[in-house]
Amino acid sequence: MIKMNHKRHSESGMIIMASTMGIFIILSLFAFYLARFSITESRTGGYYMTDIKARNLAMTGIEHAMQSYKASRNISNISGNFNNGNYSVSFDTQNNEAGTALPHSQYITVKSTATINDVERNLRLIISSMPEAFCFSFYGNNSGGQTFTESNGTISGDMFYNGNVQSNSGTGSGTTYTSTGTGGTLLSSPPSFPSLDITQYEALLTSAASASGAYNNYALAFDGSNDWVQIGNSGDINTGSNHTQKTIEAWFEVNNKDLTSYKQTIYEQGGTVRGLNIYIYGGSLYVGGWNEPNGESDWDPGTWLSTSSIQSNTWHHVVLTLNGGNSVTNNAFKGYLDGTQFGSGQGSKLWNHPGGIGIARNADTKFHTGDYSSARYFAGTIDEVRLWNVERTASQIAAKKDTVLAGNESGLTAYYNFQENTGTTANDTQTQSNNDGSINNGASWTSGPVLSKMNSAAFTNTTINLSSYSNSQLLANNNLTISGSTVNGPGYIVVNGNLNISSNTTINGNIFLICSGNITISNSQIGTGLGAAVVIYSKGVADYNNSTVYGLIISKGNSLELDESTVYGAILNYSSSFSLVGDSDITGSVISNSSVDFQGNDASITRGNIPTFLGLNIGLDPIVVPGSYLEY
Amino acid sequence: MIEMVLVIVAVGIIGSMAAAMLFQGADIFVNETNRQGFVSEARSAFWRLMRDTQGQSSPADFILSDQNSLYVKNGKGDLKDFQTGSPDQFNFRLGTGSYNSLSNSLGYSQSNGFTFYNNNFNVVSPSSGGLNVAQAKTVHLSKLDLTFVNDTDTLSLSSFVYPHNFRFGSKMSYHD
Repeated sequence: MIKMNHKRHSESGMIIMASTMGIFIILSLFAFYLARFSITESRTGGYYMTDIKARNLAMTGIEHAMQSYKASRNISNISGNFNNGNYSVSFDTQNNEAGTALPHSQYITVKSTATINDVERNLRLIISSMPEAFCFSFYGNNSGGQTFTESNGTISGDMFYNGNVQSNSGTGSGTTYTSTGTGGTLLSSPPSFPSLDITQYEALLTSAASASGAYNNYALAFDGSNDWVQIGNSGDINTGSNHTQKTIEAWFEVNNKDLTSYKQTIYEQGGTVRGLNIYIYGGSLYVGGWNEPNGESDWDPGTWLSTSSIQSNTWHHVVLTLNGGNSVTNNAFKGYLDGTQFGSGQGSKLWNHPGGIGIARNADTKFHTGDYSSARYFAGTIDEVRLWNVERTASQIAAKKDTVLAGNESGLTAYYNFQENTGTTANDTQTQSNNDGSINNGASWTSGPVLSKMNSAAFTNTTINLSSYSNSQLLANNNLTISGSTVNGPGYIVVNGNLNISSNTTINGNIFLICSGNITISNSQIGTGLGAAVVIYSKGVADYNNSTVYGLIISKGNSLELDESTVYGAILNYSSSFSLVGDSDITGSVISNSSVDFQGNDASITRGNIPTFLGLNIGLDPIVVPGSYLEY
Repeated sequence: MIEMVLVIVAVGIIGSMAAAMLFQGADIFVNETNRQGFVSEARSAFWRLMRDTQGQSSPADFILSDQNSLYVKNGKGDLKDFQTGSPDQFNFRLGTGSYNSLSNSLGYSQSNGFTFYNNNFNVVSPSSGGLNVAQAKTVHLSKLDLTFVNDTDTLSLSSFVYPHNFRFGSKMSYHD
C-alpha cells in the first residue's frame, strides 16, 4: 500500500512537470515568433533608409564624375566608398543605359551604380561636351542689334537669334527668337551665350611671347652724324686679287630717303679705284661697283643700279651681287630690293682693293655722280649685314632674307647680325673666319626688323612632331608659316604673331592652334575627323580658304571668313564680321556674337555632330542635358 | 485521488492562464501585423509616388495633372500616372496599360492630393481637366499630401518634390 501511494505521487509529479514544460515550450515558440516579426519589420523599415542612402550615394558618384569630366574631359571609370557603401561610375560615348544610340556625338551617358548592403541603385545622366547654345545649328547673339534678314544660303536645324527674325529668314519652323519674327517661335528663356575661359589660351600666348629661344632681333641705329662700324681689311673681303663673286646684303631703315645734300652710305668696301657700295640719295637706293685700272678690267666708270621703291622709316632688304671675270661683261652686276631684282649691269671681278670696309659711313668710295666727296653718314637702322664670296641667286636670296643664318653657310665670309645688343664690337658670327667690326661714336642698339622666318618660323614640306618639343608646345615669338607640311600631335602650336597654314598642310588631331594675330588657312586639312579634332583660337583676322576643318574654331578678332571651306564641328565667333563665301558648309553648330552673312546661296549651316574633345581643356564647360536624369 | 484532483485543477488553472496569454499575444500579433502591413503599404505607395515624381523629365509633362491625378514622364520617356479616387483607391499606371492598386487604404476625403507651385511658390491651379500646357510649363515644385486610414489608424504622409531634372533646365526640342 505504501508502495502503491509512492507510485501515485510519482505519476502526479510527472504530469505537473510535463505540463509545465509544455506550456514553457509553447510560450517560447510564441515569443520566438513575436521576436521574428519584430526583426522583420525593423528590417523592412531599414530598407527604406538604405534605399535613400543608396540613391544619394549614386548621385554622389554622378557628381564625382561630372567634376572629373569638367576638369579635363576625362571619361575613365570612377569608383569610391562612402557611408559604408560603394559607387562606381562609367561613361558611354555611344549609347544610353539601354543600349540605344545617343543622338549626337557630343553627348555622353554617365551611369552611376551605388550599393549599400544588398540595396543597389542605378542612375544616369546625359552630358553634352559643349555649352547649351551649341544645341542649335545657329545661335546669333545679335550684339549689333540687327534684324536677322539673311535669305541666302541654308540653315538647317533649330536656330536661335537674339532679336527680330524677318519672314523667310533662318530655318522656318526651327527658328526661335527673343523678340519678334515670322514663322518661328518666341523663346523666352534661351540659353546664354557661352562663357569661354581663355586662361589657358592666354597663358600659352604669354609663354610664346617670352619663350626661351625666341629670337628678339636687334640692330644698330646710326645718327647720321658720326656713327659707324669699321671692319678691317681682310683677304676674305677686299684684299688680294681674286674677288670674282660677291654678294652683299643688308636690312636697312632710313630716316629720310629724300636727302639730296649728301649720299647716305649703308655699306662700302674698297676705295675710289676699286670697290663696291650701297647708298641712298634723292629718294633712291643705289648699289655700285667699279674696278678702274686699264691694266685690269677697265670697269670704269663702273656700274650703279638704282630703284626708287623705298620708303622712309620702313625696313627694306637690299642685295648687291657680282659675278665677274677678268674683263667687263654684261649682267655681271645685279641689285635686289626686298627679294626682287631691280637691275643688272656690266661688271668684272675686283682686284685688290684695300681702301677699307665700313657700315653706315663712307671712308673712301665712288658714287654714280662720279664724285668721291659728297658722302656722309647714314641716318637710320641697319641689320643683318652679310658678305659672301659667291653670287647668291634670286631664289637663294629670297629663301634666306627673312631669317637668320646659321653662320656656316658656304661662301659666307662675314655676318653681322648685331645680336650683341651691348658693347662696341660687331661680331662676325660666321664660323669660317673672323672679321669682327668695331662700333664707333655711339651707334646705339635697337630692335631690328621682325622677319617672318626667324626663330624657325617657317616649315616647308616637312613633318613636325609636336612631341619633340618641350611640353609638346611649339612656341613661336614671330609670325609662323607652315606650308606643305604634316603636323602630328597631340600638342600645341602657339604663335605670338600671325599664323599662316597653306599648300596641302595637314594638321592631325588633338592639336591646339593658338595665335595672337591673324590666322590664314588655305588649301589645307585641319584635323582628320571628329575623333581627331583640332582647336583653333585666334585674336586677329581669321581667313579659311579652300580648307577642311574638323574641330572647334574660336575667333576673337575683327572678322571671320570661310571661303569655299568646310567645317565639321563648331564655331564660336566673337567677331563683328562673319561671312560664308562660296560653297562653304558648316556641319555642327555655329555660335556667333553677331549675325552671319551668307555671300551666296551655296553656303550652309547644318546642325550636326561636334567633337567631344576627350582629355582636352578647351575652356568651355559641359552641361547636363535637361531632362536626362533617370533612375533605372 | 485528492492529489490527482489537485493536479488537474492546477493544470487547468495554469492552462487557462496560458491560453489567455496566448490569446492576448496572438491578438497583439494580428493587430500589429495588420498595422505594420498598413504602414508598409502606405509608405511604399507614397515612396513610389515620390520617386517617380522626382524623376519627372520636364515641367510640361505635368500636363493634365490635378488634385487627384499626377502625370509623370521620366528621362527614358516612360509615361506614368497616379490616380487617387473614391472609394479610397490609390492607383498607378505605366504607359497606357491598366491601373494597378498601390493602396486600398487611402483616406480619399482626408487627403489633399497633389498641389503644384510655380517658381514664385504660388499655387498653380489646374483648369478644368487638369493642367494645360501653359500651366504645366510653369510648374516648379509639387507637393504630395496623402492620408491613409485603416480602422482606427490614420497615417498622413506629405512631401514637397523638386524633380532632379528641373535642376538642369527645361528640356526643349533643340536638345534632341
